[in-house]
Amino acid sequence: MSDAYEVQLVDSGDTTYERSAIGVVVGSFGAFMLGIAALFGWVSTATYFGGVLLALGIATGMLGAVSRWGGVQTTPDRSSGLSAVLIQGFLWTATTGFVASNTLELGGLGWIVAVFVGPLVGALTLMTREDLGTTMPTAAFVGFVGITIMTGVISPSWTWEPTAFDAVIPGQLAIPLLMMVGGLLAGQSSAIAYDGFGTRGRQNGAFLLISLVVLLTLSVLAFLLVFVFERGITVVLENLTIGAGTALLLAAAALVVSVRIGHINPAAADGTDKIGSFVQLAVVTVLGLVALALAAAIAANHTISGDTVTIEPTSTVGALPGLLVGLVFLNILRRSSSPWSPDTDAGRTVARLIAVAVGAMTVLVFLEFLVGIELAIGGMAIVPIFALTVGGVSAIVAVATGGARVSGRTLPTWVPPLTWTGGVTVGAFVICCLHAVFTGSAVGGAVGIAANGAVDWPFVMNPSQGLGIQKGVMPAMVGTIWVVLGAVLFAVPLAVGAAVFLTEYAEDSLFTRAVDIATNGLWSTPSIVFGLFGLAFLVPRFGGNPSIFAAQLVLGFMLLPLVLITSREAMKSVPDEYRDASAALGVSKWQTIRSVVVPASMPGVITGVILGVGRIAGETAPLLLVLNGPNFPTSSPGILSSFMVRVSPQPPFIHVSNPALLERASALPYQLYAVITAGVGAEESFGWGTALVLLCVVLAFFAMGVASRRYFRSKLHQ
Amino acid sequence: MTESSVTTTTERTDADAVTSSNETTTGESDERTKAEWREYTFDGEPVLSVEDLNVWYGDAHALTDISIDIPEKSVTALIGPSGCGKSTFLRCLNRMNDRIKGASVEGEVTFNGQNIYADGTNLVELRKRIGMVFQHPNPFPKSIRENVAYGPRKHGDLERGLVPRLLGRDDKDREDELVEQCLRDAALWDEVEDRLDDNALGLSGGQQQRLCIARCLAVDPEVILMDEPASALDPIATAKIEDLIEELAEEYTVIVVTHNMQQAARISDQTAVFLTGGELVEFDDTDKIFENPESQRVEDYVTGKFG
Amino acid sequence: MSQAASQTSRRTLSLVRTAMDLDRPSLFLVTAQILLIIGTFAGFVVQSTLTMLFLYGFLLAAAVGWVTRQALTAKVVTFLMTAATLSTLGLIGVFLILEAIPVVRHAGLDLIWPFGSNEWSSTQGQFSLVPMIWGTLLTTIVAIVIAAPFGVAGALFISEIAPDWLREIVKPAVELLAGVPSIVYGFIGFTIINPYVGNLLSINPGALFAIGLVIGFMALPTVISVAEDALSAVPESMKDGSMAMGATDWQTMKSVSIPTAFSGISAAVLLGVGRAIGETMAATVMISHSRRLPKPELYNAFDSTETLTTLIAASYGHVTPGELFWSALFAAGVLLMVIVTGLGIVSELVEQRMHRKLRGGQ
Repeated sequence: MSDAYEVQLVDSGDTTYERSAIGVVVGSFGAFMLGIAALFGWVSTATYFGGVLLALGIATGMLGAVSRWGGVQTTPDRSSGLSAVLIQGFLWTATTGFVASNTLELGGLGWIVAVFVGPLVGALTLMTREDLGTTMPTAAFVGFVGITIMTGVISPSWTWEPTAFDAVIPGQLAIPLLMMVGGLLAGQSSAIAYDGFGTRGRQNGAFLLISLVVLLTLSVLAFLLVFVFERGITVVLENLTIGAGTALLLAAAALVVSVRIGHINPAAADGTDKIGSFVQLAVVTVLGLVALALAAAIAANHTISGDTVTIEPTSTVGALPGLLVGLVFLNILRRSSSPWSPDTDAGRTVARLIAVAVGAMTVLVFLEFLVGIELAIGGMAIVPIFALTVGGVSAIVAVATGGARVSGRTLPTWVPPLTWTGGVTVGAFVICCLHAVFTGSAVGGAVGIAANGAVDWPFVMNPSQGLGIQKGVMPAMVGTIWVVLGAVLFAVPLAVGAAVFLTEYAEDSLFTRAVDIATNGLWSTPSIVFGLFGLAFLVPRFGGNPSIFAAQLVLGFMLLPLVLITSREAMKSVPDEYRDASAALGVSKWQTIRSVVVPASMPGVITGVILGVGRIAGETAPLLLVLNGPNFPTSSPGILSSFMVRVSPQPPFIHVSNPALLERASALPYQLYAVITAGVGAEESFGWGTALVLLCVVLAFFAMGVASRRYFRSKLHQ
Repeated sequence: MTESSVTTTTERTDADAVTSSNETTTGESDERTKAEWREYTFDGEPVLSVEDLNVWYGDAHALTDISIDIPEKSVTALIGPSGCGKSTFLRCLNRMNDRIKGASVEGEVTFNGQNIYADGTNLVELRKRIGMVFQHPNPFPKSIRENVAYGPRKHGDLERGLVPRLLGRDDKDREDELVEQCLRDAALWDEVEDRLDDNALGLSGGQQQRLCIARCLAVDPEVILMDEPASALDPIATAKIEDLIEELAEEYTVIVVTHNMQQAARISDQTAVFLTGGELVEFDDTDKIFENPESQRVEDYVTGKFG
Repeated sequence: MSQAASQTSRRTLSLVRTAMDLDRPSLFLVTAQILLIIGTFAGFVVQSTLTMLFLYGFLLAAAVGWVTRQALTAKVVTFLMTAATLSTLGLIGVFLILEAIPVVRHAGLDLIWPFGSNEWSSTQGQFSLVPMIWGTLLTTIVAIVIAAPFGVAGALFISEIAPDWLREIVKPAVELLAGVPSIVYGFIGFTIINPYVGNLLSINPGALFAIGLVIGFMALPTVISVAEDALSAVPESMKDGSMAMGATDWQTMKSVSIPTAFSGISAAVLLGVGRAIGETMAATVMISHSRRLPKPELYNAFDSTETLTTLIAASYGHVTPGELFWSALFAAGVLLMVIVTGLGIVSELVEQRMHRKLRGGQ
């Protein structure tokens, strides 16, 4: 132990020494940040940097001196640790070597001197008490570097051209780097001093370094996201025109959804949930304000236009957005509804009437979908009128119910609950939207549902080439959707089936071990190798050209190990008690798997699929080889419309084909690569926009995967 | 005035003593006698003094108003049915409860005159002086020698490694002495003296537990806390551990948690009984607790009527 | 080995016995399904026109089996799916090697031997992968110098040092870092990092060390998550034992957690290396594609050449199937597979050795 003094059980608290040590830590952190700022060009490198380092060096040295001779009670070890010795030895060897051989121009002789000086410093560090050994060499180094910079030996215009590297290292780079190194060293020494050296001091120093590393990693992430967002958002939102009515509907829907999920009251939550609920409160407030602003704009017939986005004060609602919002509302209502079984005859009649009305509307709109034209009697469209009537009635009833509940009056028993009437109203709205989508004709006039034109978003909806139009990523997005969809349809059943076999049927044997090795091998195979495989094996067998189908299979092969591993874990974590209970009831093994194991492991499988899809959606390398579409496509692949079934006398007698699947196409990551290789400077903004869209797609999958994992985990723990 | 009050007190106590042995009553008289049951007079200063200790795990109240003084250089047993807070109490004494999420502690624990729950307590120093042996043996995946020497090495009392060797200060001989002494004290030396560099995980359960005790002794604590040290072991190993505990009490203060009443009766000098609700009900000489306890609930417990 | 062989023979015997226990229709269905799928597969590989016919036949047999003998069909079908997973890796290996054979015959050992004619010139018919291997090596070294210490530090932070609320923020953030597509990293490298480094150091854009830096950050999340899993698996009782003796958290980490989790941490670093080696798009977009060894010194990481992965990604458009260049790309692919598989095997061995130590052997 130390011969310093008897260790107290209870420390008296913050002494001046500790406070000064913290001051030096903060100063070192400041120096470190200054170096980074200079590296990024936010601050210009100057000679006062040297002054900062010199001050730091002196302060660090004082911490050590005061501990050794100043009567402050610290608990240093008798000698410094091995790591301190090695660091100081290396540092001083390198520094002396550089200085001697370059600045003093001693060449090789300089390095020989360094080989003496470095280990000498190391030995000195070794032999002195820990408080001196941790602070003094660092102080000397930092102070020395500080003086070098202050006196202009290394100035911003200094250069160094080592012959081995064909590069010129300027003072602009060297000084910030030296600041960072100096800040790091001084910070670590003073952190050790803060806790009085010894084991607790060293712990403090180690924790400081580790926390700094993590902070750096997270800042890189934050920087990346902010950068892509900042540069891409103007491109993505350029010339976006949206109708105010549609915008209002979307804002209202977002408002309802964000109130429903999670807790909105920060006071009621605790821990991380508190932060979450604050965020939610902020989101809800913002959405509410936005909705109010939109409503005001409609009322005043005022066009809101920013740099890129324009909001037109139309009071119609787009059909597709309306459909989306309606489905979301229906889902919410369904979740919060309770079964309604009326007791009275009147109630049962009403329930039946509702069922008939809803059924009729659905059938009619489905007919319209099949036939493709509007069903009309005497020039008046049936579906909208019917739907509007039903919707109107249920809306009135809903309002009445709500009003009655507020005023405390009781309702007759044949009145359906609020969720039902609300649901019917929303259902009618959805039917109208479907009608507009299928038949292309609007519903209503100034206030109603527009068939199209409510939202015009060029970047997302346009192809990337065409006369006089703005570049968009629609073909790339459609390509990504189809390729990912195909990969999922191919890989997920295969992986889940294999997982079922491996967990339920197979016993540990050479076969299972081989499968384990193969799965791990597939998982770590580089993506470009999958592309090569597709090129060598799949492309010749599917038309000889790169194609969407080949890309689907290749990405499927990449998805396979991901889903297999997660599915196996999900199935393994289904407790044996479930299987035992089922077997004890006399149920066969396959039935148990089918009705107990697979449903119980579904959450884990789904999470694995979502996360795996997020990963393959961003893959470019295999697509380069097997999808290989045009750099700037002019149209999206039309897969759905190209299915053909032929009967022929030759084998295989029934021929199912889809020529569109065998064509080249583009995908989002591929589009980004094309922008880079096309190389023309003007395209860089298009690249940022594409990067932002790609990032959003991938992050959306990632967020869904994490959310689903949390949701299922919390359900499991109930 | 004083005389009458004295007589009144004695009268009251006699009367209540009679009633308490017949039934369990609620009300003021019960509270007063309960506090007395917990008081235990002995010679010398208590090494550990606990006052009004309360522990919550989240919302669950695990320990209620515990006040107890532990005499030194003896074996104190803590008994009671499972879930009554004995282990929780033990972990409060060396602040190992700090490592449990959601645990909150109120009250005072004084060790040699200093409150260990004060701000700025040096936990490293505290745990050097109050050692702990756990229910399941937990040796490190290192050699037997390295396990025993772990504490002193980490505290800097034994310097081993490259740097001390370079400085000529390698403590190998001192370490060998210490390891042998501690293994002898833990009654393990004869079984392992020729395989000190073997992996400790290759020992049997009983041997591993004795290794953990040797490891604890190497730090030279004043107090040794033992949380059901023999519950995971077979009867022969248990007997060895029990003999060891009695020997240890000559040098150290030993506090043993056990759910095995016979074990408590065999090895301890005084026994504290914890019952449901995290309550310390009675603390007295072991003989008194097992033969003639004051509290009816304690009598029911030690005679096996519940628990 | 002999144990595995006897085990396999026992399994096959029991399999035969179960087969003989089946009734006639079941046996027929199972044989039909297996034979038809093998036929489909074989037909597909040799590009026969009968492939689709076999596939329809299999689908029919499977449908019939599902309706009549569901449990048995389920077992057979899932077994075939597992076999498909197994065969994929084999297929990849086989077909890559097949395509790589021509250039191996042409260039022989010069492909990887650094001291022969180690230049790459497709116009002159010289195909040596040595510059590419060296490029991969340099970038991977730089990447690991970043990813290994940062990764282990991050794992220590998440599993041991961070308070709960901070862990819930940092862990998803690290997963987010892993989710960013590599082409986005490459785009940022291309538009921002390359010009910045080029201006600062007066070099041509695409320095190997800048690429190594980017790849290091991409491999970092892999190292963090695997190492963190390993550290979390250290039993709490062991850490309690160390803390109860008065060791500090940091001492407990250094002396108990890290040694106990060492196999997992090494596996994490090896996986990170594998990820760095296989990284394609970020490097392809940033690198200069000059297929030669760095000048003026071999270790000049400020120069820009080519790596195994970037060679393949950049050349795809300029190659026709069947020529030597094409074959050389596949040879590079085979080399990548070999390296990555080798790393996987090494990490498996390391983990096995540490498991034995934890069980108390030796």
